[in-house]
This record gives sequence, structure tokens and C-alpha cells, in this order.
Amino acid sequence: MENFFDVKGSIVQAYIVCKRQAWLLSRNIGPSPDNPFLEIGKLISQEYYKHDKKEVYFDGVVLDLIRHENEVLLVGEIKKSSRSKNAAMTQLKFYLYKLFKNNINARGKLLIPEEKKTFDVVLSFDDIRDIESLIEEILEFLSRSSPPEPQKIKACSKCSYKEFCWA
Amino acid sequence: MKKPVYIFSDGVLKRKNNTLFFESEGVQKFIPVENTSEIYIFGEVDLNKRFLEFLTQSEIILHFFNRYGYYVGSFYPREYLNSGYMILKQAEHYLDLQKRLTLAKAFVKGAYKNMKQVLKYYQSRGIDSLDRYIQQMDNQFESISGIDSIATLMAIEGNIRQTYYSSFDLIIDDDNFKFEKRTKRPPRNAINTLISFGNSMMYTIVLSEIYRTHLDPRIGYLHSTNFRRFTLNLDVAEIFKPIIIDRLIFSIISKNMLKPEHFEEDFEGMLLKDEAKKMFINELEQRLSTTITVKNIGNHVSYRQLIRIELYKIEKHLMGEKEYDPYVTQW
Ligand code: SF4
Repeated sequence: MENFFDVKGSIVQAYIVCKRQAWLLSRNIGPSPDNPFLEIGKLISQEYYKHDKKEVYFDGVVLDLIRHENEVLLVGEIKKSSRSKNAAMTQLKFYLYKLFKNNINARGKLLIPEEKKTFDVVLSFDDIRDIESLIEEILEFLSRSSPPEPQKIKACSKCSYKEFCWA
Repeated sequence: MKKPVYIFSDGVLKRKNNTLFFESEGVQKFIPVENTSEIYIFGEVDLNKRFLEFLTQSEIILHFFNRYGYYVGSFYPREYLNSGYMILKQAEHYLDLQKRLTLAKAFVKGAYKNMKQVLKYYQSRGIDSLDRYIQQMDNQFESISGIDSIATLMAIEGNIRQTYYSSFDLIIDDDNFKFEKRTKRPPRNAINTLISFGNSMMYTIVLSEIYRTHLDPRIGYLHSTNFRRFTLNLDVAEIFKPIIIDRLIFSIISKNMLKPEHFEEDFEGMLLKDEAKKMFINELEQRLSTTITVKNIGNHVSYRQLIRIELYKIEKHLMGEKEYDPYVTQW
């Protein structure tokens, strides 16, 4: 399939939480700029990890934070809460996959400073297979000419698309 | 919550480190960028490119008014929520006359319904003779369904608004504030001056909200586009002018907050003094932050958010998700 859309990490993550959100993101329909939860997210990554390199752009993805640890690159993804931990793990694996495709070996760490939690993430061969089929699935989905209708799910209440979806 | 900043004095606006800085006759004031949504300039203010670059980076719009209180223009920083997809959709609905008419009619409908709600409110408070005006507006509105040209639609909208305005003397009922007839450029009496000022404020408020969406303000549907001016904000403002500006004017006058001394006559027409502009803006800000309940979204939606939601509704119409139905006030 022709690659019309750039599947970014944020789209992968969104796809797992809410497909509609992934579709909107792919069209650059970004969320409300003044949603308080977005602001909090920004503040958290500014507040913590002051000494690490932050927001590194790499091959269409934005890495929250990178650091060298024992000769291996460590990629950190910072989240506000463990609420959508699975989606965040997949997003992180997607970054590791992108790096892997560029011959960079890296490990991942999901960081939730507010809850003082971290989770190690490594990329296995099964993960690579899963990610490739997920990308295929996402591309197929994004080629739809309109997004699926909004459905009230748990994520809606704190979602920065809330006003847009329910207007 | 970010807030607009209003500058009435003369002086210099600068960037100082990572903050905005206003200097005026020895008085210096910092304007924190993270709390500022937009800046209104009424005084004579000097600024430079470095300052404008900083505003762009901070995503802050600048609105200029001349010393008579007329809107001059805006510094609209590069869009930061650009969506090629949405712009194509906007253009598609502009270029296809049927699609354009659908949206343009929706704006006229929203404006008409809200004007009517204003009159009905005053009718419920005992001004019976307003019924005649409401009837006439109904008749005028009825003819829009068959219309197939934007120009005719605009003319009808103009007629409805004229009927609506001609009822103002009944509502205001104050000899100091006789409306008589609508005069713009320049407004010839106090009430016309207030309407012009209020409407200009409304246009810039909607423009500021458009800046925070994916819409391009240059593509309007009712107001014809020449791709150089902002027009979408004029379309959307039609809906909110009656319920925000006109009601505000009635309330200010009935509370005796305005005196004839607040106005100045000049060969340019009737002018509003700074003190009165400040009072008006104060009241307007209060009104914009008043919260109401909105279907689907729930409680505590401010009027300012309501404008944003209206823009989202338009985006959804353009995307083909949900036909646009303009907001009509309940009371
Ligand atoms: S508000 Fe709900 S439906 Fe809309 S994008 Fe967010 S999670 Fe998805």
C-alpha cells in the first residue's frame, strides 16, 4: 500500500486508545491547544529530568528523553499517569522499532514521575512482527476518507479532543 | 487560564528576555506570555520585528484599534495548528455554490434566531409592541429558503437586522441613548458608537478563537472572500453579536453605567472615551466568562468556549460529520 501517511509514535499511541483520535491526528487536526491536561503533560516533562536531552526528533518521531546508560541508548517516554500504560508501552516499542530499523540498538523506559514508577521496555522479535502488522493495519485505517464517529469511552473525559468530538 | 491584555496608554512594546514588556512614561510593566491569549492595542504603541517574532513563537495575536476606537487590523501570527486537510475542506465548501449557500444560510439563521431571542426576552418583560418587529423578521427570514445567491442572502440578512435595530428605541427607552437609525463609518450617535465598538470587539474575539482552531479565517461563506481579509470571523460573529454585544449594551444602559460625558463629538462622528471603553471591555470580559450549560458538553461552558465550540461544529460540518446547526440561546 502506498504510504500516504506518516505513522508517528503519537498516532500509534492514539490508535490504541481511540482510533478516531489517530485519524484526526493524521490529518493534522490537532487537539485544543488550551486543554489543561496537555499543559500538565508539557510541564511534567519540563519539571523532571532536567539534565537529560529532551524532545529529540528522529525519523518522524519525537523522543521525550534520551540518555546513555552502559553504552546503550536509553529512550524514555514520560507519561502523566499509568492510565494508558499499554498504549504508552506500544508507543515506546514503536520508537525502539524505528531506531532498530536505523541500526540503533536501544532500550526503553516508561517514566511516570508523578507516580514514581518506571517500566523497562525491550524490543523482541515478536514485537517487531506485531509492530509491522500494526503499522499495516493503521495505514489501512487512515486511508478512510472520514473518521469513525466519536464514541463515549473512558478516555474522552480527559481527552483534549473532547470539545471537538462532542460539539 | 490565558487572558487578553488591553493597552490604552501610549508607549513601547518590547521583548525583554522571555517576557513581553510595556514601557510608558517611565512606567514599566511586564506582561507574562504564558498568561496572555491576545493583546489589544488602543494607544499609540511602537513595536519592532523582534517583538512580533516573539509573539509568533508565543502564539499571541495582536489587535489594533485607532484612537477613535475603530478596528484597524490584526497581527495574525503564522498558524500553528495548520491542517492542509481542513483548508481543502474549507475551500471545497466555498467553491461549490450549493455548499457555500448551506453554510451562509446557517449563519443567517443563527443570527436571526438570536436576534429574535433578544426581542422575545424584552417582550416577556412587558414590551408588547415588539411583537410587530418579530413578525416582520419572521416574514423576512421565510424568504431565504428559495434563495440561490449569496448577494440576495446578504441583502435579506441586512433587512432582518434593520428591522431588529429599529426596535432598539423601544427596548432602551432612554432619551440620552436614542438609536433612530444605524449609522456606521462614522457612527452618528452614542448608541451607534457602542454598537460599532462592540461589533468590532466581537470580530476580534472570534478571530482570536479561530486562531486556536484549524480553520483559515480568510475563507468565509456569507461575507465574500477576497482572500486578503479575514471574513470567517465576520460570519461567525453574526450569531453572537445579538446575544453578547447587544444584550451587553442594553444592560449597561439600564444600569446607568454610561453617561453622556463618556462620549465626544467630533467631525469623525461620535466617539467613546477611553474610560467608557475600559468599562465596556470589563463588562464584556465578565460576560464572556459567564458559564452556561450546553447539550452534550455539559455544565460550565463559558461564552468564550461556546464560540470555540461553534467553530468546531463548523469543522465537523466541513468534514461531513455533522450538519452545522448554529447556536441559539435558550432564554
Ligand atoms: S474525545 Fe473521545 S472519541 Fe474524541 S478523540 Fe478523544 S477519546 Fe476519542
